[in-house]
Amino acid sequence: MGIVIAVISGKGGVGKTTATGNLGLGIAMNGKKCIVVDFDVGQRNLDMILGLENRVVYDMVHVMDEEVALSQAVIKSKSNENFFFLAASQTKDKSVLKSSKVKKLILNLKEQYEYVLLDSPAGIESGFEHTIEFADAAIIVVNPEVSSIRDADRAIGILDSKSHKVKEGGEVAKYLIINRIIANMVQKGEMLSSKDILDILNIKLLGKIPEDKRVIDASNQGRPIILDNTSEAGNAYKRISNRMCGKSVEMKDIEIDSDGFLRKLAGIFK
Amino acid sequence: MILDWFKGKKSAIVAKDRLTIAIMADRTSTSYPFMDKMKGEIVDVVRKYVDIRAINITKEEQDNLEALSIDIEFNKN
Repeated sequence: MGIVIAVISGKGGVGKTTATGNLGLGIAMNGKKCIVVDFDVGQRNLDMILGLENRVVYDMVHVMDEEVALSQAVIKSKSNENFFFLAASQTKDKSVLKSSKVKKLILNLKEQYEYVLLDSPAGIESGFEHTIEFADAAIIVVNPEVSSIRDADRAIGILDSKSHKVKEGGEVAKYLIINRIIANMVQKGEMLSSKDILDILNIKLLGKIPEDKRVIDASNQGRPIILDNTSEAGNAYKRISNRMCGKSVEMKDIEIDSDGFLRKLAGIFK
Repeated sequence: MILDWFKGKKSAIVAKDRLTIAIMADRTSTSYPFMDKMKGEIVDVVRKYVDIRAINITKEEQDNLEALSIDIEFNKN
């Protein structure tokens, strides 16, 4: 039995889909069989991030409606043999998701994959609720910015009330990823630090990702940033995926601008 | 650095203070996420019988119980 992890955010545009794709691939790079599922019905995007948009024939709604078998709809990555993808439906409306069908699909996925990552739609509507309902754990992606953090707190609240695990008296594990950190702004006190954000949201930190312009270049090409060894964001995704696979990886302090603050400080003592 | 003293509070501190207050208010919300939709549906039903002037739904909490108070005003026939 695998583990099901919902990737959620509250607010849109914080890098949730990018995170899902990169972490999924990073987990597969650890030798674990991993599938990423796009739950953003009507706004399919994970296929673009992964560069698999031309290979989508069937989507998760076809599987849920039993029009095709799961194996027919799943797309196998060319870059990693452990990495798989299931697309969201683009044409049908969001109400196609039914709790019983979602549950069946997720149980099916859990049996076949070690890690199942669900890319949730933004917002806190029904699509979001279906994504979190049967998840074992959730990753909340935020930007160090007020609206993103406030919306994330709302999403966490709903996660706690709608999760199947919580309803059964259990607990759904929650982890935070802070994306798009700009070190020199944090140093100048112009951006919330990870400590500030953790104080406010009160959940465990899974990782920090620096702002990196190359993320856009990577999504232009449909080649996940984690494959770029020279990218800071890519390396941050690698550290996080290693942590998700049970490796102990030190939390790198990306909030200190390596060629700003520290060097200036060192300069004083020269 | 000394210049910063005159510029007032750093914006990250302002952000943290504002967020802390906003989130505290959100968490003790007197509403449910489905409130607007439910309100709309109640209006649709009641409107079949009377002419609604206003509708007000509030969530109330006591110990481990939650209750909804629904006040509907309508014009005298």
